[in-house]
Amino acid sequence: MDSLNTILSVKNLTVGYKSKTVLNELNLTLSKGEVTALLGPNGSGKSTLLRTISSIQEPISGGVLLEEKSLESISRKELAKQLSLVLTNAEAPGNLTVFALVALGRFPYTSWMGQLKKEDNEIIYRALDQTGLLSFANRHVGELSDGERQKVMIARALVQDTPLIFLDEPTTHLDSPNRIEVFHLLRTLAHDFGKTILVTTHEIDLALAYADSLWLIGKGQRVLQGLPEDLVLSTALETAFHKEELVFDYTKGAFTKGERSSSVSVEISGDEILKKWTEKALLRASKINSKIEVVVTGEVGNPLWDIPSQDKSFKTIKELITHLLNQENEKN
Amino acid sequence: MTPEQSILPQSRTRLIVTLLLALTVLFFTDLILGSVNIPIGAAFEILFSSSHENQAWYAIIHKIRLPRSITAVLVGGALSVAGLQMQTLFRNPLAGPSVLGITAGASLGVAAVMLVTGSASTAFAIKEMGLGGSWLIVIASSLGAAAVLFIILLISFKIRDNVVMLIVGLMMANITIAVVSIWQFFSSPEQIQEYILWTFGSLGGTTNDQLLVLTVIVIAGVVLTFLLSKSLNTLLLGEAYAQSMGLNVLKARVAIIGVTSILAGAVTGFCGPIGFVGIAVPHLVRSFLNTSDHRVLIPSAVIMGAIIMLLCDIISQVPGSNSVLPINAITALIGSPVVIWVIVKRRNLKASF
Repeated sequence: MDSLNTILSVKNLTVGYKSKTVLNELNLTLSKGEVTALLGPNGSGKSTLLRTISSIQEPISGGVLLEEKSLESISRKELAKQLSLVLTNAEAPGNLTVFALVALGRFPYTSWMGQLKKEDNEIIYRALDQTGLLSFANRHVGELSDGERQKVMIARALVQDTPLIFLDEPTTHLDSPNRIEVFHLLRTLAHDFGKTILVTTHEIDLALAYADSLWLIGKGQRVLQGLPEDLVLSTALETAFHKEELVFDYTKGAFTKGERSSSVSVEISGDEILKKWTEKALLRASKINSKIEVVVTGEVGNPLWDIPSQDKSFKTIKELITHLLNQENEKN
Repeated sequence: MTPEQSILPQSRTRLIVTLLLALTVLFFTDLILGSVNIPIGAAFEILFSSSHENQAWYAIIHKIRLPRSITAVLVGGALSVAGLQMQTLFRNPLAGPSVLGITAGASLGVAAVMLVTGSASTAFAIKEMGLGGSWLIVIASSLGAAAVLFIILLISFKIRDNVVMLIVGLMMANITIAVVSIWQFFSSPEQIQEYILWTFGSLGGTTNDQLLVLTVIVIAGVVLTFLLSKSLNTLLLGEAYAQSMGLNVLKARVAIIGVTSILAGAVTGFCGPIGFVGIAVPHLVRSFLNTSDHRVLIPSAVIMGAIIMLLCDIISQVPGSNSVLPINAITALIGSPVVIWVIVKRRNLKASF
């Protein structure tokens, strides 16, 4: 399994607490310059594993090798130059400027009073630039949104100048666009700047979209490693997140609750995207049974729905559905 | 591309200079005001030219008012720095030496010396013992403070929740106070009286020997705290981050708690339990200077603490009258509204923790 690119390898690692083993006999690797997502349902032991391989928590047995050196043999000061962390909690002391907070990441390198040299300043500004925070440098952290604050914490990790960055559920408190932005940033940092990134998440869609490799927490305290696509096609992903009544949709790559009706009686033609969304809405309005033809014209941003047989057109799907439902009622 | 980031921008420097000016003005005001009216000109002459024209005035200024003002500066600075460290360590805006039971612990130490060892060690007797006696009180109160702090520290390993920690601290203070009051119950009235007078707090009771001891301890404590400012800054992000950046969190915790108990313990030993300054001043400084950087906060807290203590001392002497109010009551009168203001101005508080 170990290739030339391996920077960190987990050997026969068992993690957990005195009273309870969480994950058993793990053998995993992290490759240089890749985003690896540690994916698993809530409460499956993602954070415990992350804490163990970042030396915050003692393993029950087994060990972790960082560049062929045992993690235990690396001093805390030395490790701070190899590995930086970004944690879940979005709270950060607001009474610091973005610059001052990011500058804290230089801790392992600065003198006893934390005086910044010219080189430190350059590294801080480079990190602010990479995370798109340059214009925020003098803003107070308390004034920022959750997403911006999480980016500040990522910038702080960058400034620590470590080949490895571990992130524990960094997108938990964020809205959808911010989540995507954070994952996009992680991918840029890995692919363009050579960072090795391990990020825990329970969000399947983001892991599938952005990870180069997955550590998937499966059944029986095991962790599977592989390409996201391989783990989808081997049904490992479905098994790992399996819940009653939930079905894994292999075309969308997401779990869905069983649909009430699987096909639409209305025949829709037109632009693929518009067709897809119209179908989605009609599926929900399951009472419509008429075999009528609907043509969608226009494009995203300016769609129009026509029923040629009745010479009617509608500006929204809602109008269309209301019309169809009224017809159903009249028939009955 | 890389503008210089200074921890002391111009506006901040201006503010600190203003605070220093205020400190100087209040220091001399404190010397001039009191039960005996000494004109400003005469007071300055006595201070700077060692004139002995008016023996009484000379004695009042040099023997009473100067030690008192210096004590006020030391006490204010020490308590503020101690409170600042506690608030950062526990990441709790309401932490401070008095709330977390450190002052109560110091009281226990002093009570042990005053009430248990018999009438020979009443406060008066201790003062008569001179330097040795001051050390006895300081060591007793520091040990008492350290004992309570270490119990809180041990519990804080188990509990991560700040609010729970605060309640634990309050309960520790209650237990300590209860122990002292049982002790009082079995002591003679004279001993109790000495102890109660001590609990009112006093800036005027320090002899020159004691002042020397206090000065050495406070300066050492403030310098040590300043040396810890990089660790304190890192702890602003919480212990997990601090550890990931290579800070030995346990060592830093022990150092911070050690320095705090020496500062709070010494001040409490000499001047009695003085509350509120330790909680209120760090908030004032943080919101005035708009930063959490300890390299700026620590010196500013010393200045601000000294200013507040001098102000309280001036008020406690009730200018124009002969009576002196207990300093502990005055700091509470001024400090409590500040704490209320801080809580009401929630944004300000949330922003710092």
